[in-house]
Amino acid sequence: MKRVRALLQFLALLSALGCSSAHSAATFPDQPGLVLSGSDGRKHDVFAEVRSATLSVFVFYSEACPCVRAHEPRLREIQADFAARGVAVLLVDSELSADEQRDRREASLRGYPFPLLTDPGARLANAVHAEYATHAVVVDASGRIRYSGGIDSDKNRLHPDAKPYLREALEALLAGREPRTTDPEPLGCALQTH
Amino acid sequence: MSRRVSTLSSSVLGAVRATFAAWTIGATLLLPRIALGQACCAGASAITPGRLALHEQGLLGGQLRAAWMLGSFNRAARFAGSPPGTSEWDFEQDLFGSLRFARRAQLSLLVPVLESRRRTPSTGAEFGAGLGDLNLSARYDFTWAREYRALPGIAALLGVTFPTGRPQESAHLALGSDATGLGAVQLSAGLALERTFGDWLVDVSGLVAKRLNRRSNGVDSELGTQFTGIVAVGYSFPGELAAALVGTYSFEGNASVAGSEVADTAKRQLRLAGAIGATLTDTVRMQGSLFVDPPLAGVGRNSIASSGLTLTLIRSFL
Repeated sequence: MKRVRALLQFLALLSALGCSSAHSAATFPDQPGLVLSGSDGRKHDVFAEVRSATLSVFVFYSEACPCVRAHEPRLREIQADFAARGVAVLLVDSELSADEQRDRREASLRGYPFPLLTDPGARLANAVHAEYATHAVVVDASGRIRYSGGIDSDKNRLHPDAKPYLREALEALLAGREPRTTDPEPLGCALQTH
Repeated sequence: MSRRVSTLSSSVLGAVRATFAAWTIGATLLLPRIALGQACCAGASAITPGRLALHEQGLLGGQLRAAWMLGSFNRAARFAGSPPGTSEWDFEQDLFGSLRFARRAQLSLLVPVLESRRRTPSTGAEFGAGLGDLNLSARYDFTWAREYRALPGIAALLGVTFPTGRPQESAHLALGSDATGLGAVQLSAGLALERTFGDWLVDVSGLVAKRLNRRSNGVDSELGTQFTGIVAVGYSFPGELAAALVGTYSFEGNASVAGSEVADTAKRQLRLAGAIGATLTDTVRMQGSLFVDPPLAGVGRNSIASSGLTLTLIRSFL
């Protein structure tokens, strides 16, 4: 009986592990100490950057994730189309294996037009409950999370008829409207943040 | 000779097919997630081939299988090749579907249709076919592969197989080619572990299957509890191609008849498989595999050794 009880407790613990992060945050964490190294060689005070842009888009990144690779063109397009309208796009590597040198090398190799922030300890990912690579979080200048979900309806292949959730959300927010969809599932790899 | 083949074939038919259900966990379930890139598709698997990958809400699939008998293992685990003029070909078409009913839980249904062509010099050839045993299974992923650095993906597997096929004693053909089921309800439970190492994926699963008591011709009988272990190693190539090697070993205790254990009826079987998978689109994938039960003395007991191939097509829904 003791063994059965121990097994049940173990399963309950595992179950709790699996359910621990299925929430979404409404407010971007006000963590003045959250300063992340960027692939552009700068230190990024995340909250200060949020306040200085009309909208900030944090997209969670995994070096091993083919879905991130697949979405690079879409992110470049969004950067190109919205930068002039006060939207800042930032990639965030919050995985346990995140390494500043490797991120800098990857960003350079892939010619990212946006900085790749290294988030050791997954502080940012945990704060906004990001679980998957390609998870995009849009924050307004007041620090309010306005969108938290996938870039679009594609997974690791791009289709012209994909639903452009992030793009539509940015258009809506810049026009002063609420996005029609605020939390579509991000179709990317599980982030290793624990 | 024909009687020997008939008896042997019929007696192991259910076990072979039940083993096959377990084998598909490794051979065909491993590949979808490898082919899509391990990290992208971590999580999910089930007792049927319809394991849902991460983000998939449902899927429908079909699998074709063809196998031919190499010979059989007797109760002393000695292998004997098929006698001259004797042959057995087995075919199977599985339809399966899976549905995610909670974030980490999925339910799958497998509907098999079986055909068998058997031949002996004395009886000639016969062909039988019919609906096999339906399998309903569930999987709960406590953790997904790669989710935690210190933990592998850990999943609980549960399944029930219903005796919807025609059991051996109801077969009409002389060699039992039209027997398509075990004849008993089978309850199974298991644990699956998987871990990624760069482009490599290692999957280790264990299953226990309890076959419930059944009554046939006024006599109660029960097959022994079956244990199945599966080890699979997969590699993901660029271009969304993947390959896997899968080893499945199953063994079960003696059967019992009228409450008494029948000596020398325990079975065991080793199956090795090589499989290739390709992701055609985000929602369509294809897999093929070759498998063999090594015809080596000692690896099997009271079982048929077969070789064959499978082809699987899956359409998923995100």
